[in-house]
Amino acid sequence: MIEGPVKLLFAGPVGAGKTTAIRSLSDTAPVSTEAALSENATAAKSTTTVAFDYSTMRVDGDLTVHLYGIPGQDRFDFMRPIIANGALGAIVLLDASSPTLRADCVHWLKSISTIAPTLQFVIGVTKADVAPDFSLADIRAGMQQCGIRAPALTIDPRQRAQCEQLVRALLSSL
Amino acid sequence: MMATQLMAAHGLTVHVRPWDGTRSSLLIANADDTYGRNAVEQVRRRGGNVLTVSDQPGATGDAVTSSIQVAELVDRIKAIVAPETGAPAVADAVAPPTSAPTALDVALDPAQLGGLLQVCLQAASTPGDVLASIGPWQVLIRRDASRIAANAHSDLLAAQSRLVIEDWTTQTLSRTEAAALKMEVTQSLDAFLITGCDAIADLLPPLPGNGYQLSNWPDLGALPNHRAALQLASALVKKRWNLTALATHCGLTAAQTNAFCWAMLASGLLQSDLNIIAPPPPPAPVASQNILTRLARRFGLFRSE
Ligand SMILES: Nc1nc2c(ncn2[C@@H]2O[C@H](COP(=O)(O)OP(=O)(O)O)[C@@H](O)[C@H]2O)c(=O)[nH]1
Ligand SMILES: [Mg+2]
Repeated sequence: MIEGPVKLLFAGPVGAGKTTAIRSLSDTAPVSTEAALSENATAAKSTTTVAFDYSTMRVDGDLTVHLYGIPGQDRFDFMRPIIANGALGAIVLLDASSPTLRADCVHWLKSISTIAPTLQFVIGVTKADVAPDFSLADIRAGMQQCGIRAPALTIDPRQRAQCEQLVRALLSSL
Repeated sequence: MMATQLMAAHGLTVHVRPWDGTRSSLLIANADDTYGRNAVEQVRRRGGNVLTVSDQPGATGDAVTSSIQVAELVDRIKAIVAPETGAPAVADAVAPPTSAPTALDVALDPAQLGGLLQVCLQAASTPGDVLASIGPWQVLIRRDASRIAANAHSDLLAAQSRLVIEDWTTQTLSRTEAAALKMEVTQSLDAFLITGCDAIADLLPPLPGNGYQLSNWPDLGALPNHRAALQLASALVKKRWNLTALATHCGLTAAQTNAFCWAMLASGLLQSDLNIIAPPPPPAPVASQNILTRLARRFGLFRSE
């Protein structure tokens, strides 16, 4: 039972839009620790979040929601359980233009459920605007493979209203 | 209007509305223009009643002229809608007879419905994508993918306003053929159908109130201001509902609830009665109700616990 601060996690592969979503939602200046990409990440991005993004969103006067971006690169695996501890839910962001979308979905749902088995999920699929062949069936199949039925929404994380919709869907599914 | 009042005097309640492609007891159409003739053809094909108006000398024998006397018009309408005049109560003449197909039959037999909803419902039985065209407009329905695509936004808007009217030409395409079209604009099919059905909520035939449930969450990412859709979706994902109870639970009108369910039926996510997938048990909430309630309020959500 959480009675103190509420924590929301943002997880997903590099470039899926975690930093963007946290910036859109936060009402304080976000703390991001960006650094040069390691050799195995995509060339399209020159920097990435190496530790985590963190910001807050004020709710109802004195209730603060803490927004944490889980590091996307596997070499930061060790950070994830620390960040996930006591979280209310996880927003998994996936890049619609990924050729391995279904596998990405399974990978992220599994890795988050392993570190926090009771966590509620919502999936935000980004970049559908630049992925004409994207199919939501890949996401639904990935969830089914993991025995999870969570809301899956296509969103643009640059739009605050759509990021709020993700949080709303998460709350509605609780 | 006068004819309507006269019909009332004969014990017949008449609701007059512009033709929208949905079921009605009688279509009165102008046989002298193409639109009217198309409507007549569609309704006749479905076995519906038709009264044509024509001022052409060579018009078919059963057409009436536009200068017909009101009393005669009333007689003609009565003869079609309620043939056994003098029968005690004909006040329900506009209600479908008991043997008429219910809305669910219509859903299962999409030929009974016009427009793009029909195309979507039919897409359920065809693997692959469906290219639907009408006049200058074209949309690609990727129902399995929950996406709809077009060359321009204007095609999507034109399609959205023709959900229950007009006969679309359709062509089934393989994924490769569809991808080769390189359509520029894509959006969520769920959101497209929800918005479109909402706009014509009052015209959609009521679905029977049986047990409905959603097999999956619809994609509501593009509808952050449509709170009713989120409410309905979250209720329908969690358990099976009777539509009246669902409307009451969500504090929505029957028409709003019905429109949402039509959209979900067309998108392939709504299941009724038998073919329902049992939902997984809900995980235990980890936050206190107090916190959840405050969060819900912040995001403009209604919570009923
Ligand atoms: N076109 C488009 N670009 C997006 C979308 N979401 C994110 N981006 C861009 O993708 C890039 C990577 O986003 P970022 O938030 O840094 O990803 P992160 O690695 O998960 O933190 C940024 O340039 C975003 O502006 C989207 O839905 N559409
Ligand atoms: Mg980042």
